[in-house]
Amino acid sequence: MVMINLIFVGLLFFIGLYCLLTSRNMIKLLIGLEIMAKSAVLSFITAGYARGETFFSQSLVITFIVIEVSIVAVALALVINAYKNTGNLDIRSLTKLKG
Amino acid sequence: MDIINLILLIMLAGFACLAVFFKDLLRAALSLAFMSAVLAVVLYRMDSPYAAVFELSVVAGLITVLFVSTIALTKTEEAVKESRWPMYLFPLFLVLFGIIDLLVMKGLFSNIPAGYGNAEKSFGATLWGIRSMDLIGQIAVIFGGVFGVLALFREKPLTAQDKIDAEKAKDGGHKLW
Repeated sequence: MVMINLIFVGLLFFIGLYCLLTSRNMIKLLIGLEIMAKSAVLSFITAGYARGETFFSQSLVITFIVIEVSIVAVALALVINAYKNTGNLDIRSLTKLKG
Repeated sequence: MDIINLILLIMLAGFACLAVFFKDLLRAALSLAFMSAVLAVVLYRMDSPYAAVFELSVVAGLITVLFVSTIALTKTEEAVKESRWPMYLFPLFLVLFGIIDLLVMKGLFSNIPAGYGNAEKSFGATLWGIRSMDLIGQIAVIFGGVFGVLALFREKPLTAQDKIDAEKAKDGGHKLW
């Protein structure tokens, strides 16, 4: 179980990274980031399960989820502000910002 | 090998791929929510029920609501033009990365040190005892997020002249009294 989980941790991380590298839509970029965060959650819990320290890994995951929610909330607020300024969700349009 | 666990993990990767390659953002966000729900089941099956509940309620629930709200607020006529080559090349890269992943994880798996077991008798004792200082960090992060969002949606206060102009515009440009 642990070995299979570790392989899927890597695969999920790759899928999220691929999304971050190839997508131009700001919301899609955040979705990629979320997928990478899920691979990190699976990694923490798998490590805890393998070592028999599930309570410790669960408390780490709960802290991580709180951080994740804050990051997503702020990032989505930034996306809305960028959309108000540029009128689209293309990440490349942010390179034209001044000031 | 635990076959149910394997099926759940394949579903997890499948929903992740759907979230990445769906053109419709709403469908992508819903795929992400389903992915969180499947991950919650995986966590529950690995003796981590508290993490599973958090994953299901906060990530599958709250974050999906945030995504759907943002998608609704940023509804645009023209979609962002994406290249098609990432979708075609994805299987090739996935297989390549999968092989590297298998080799690396095999090495890591053989090096997992023996654990000492749970230090406390319950999860509550661990969270409120050993890891109680984490709660301060969590509170700081929550306030950081709240004030970050508030700062980003801050609007310039109206001056007296702005208020007069707004009043005029409301009355069709003429004072009624």
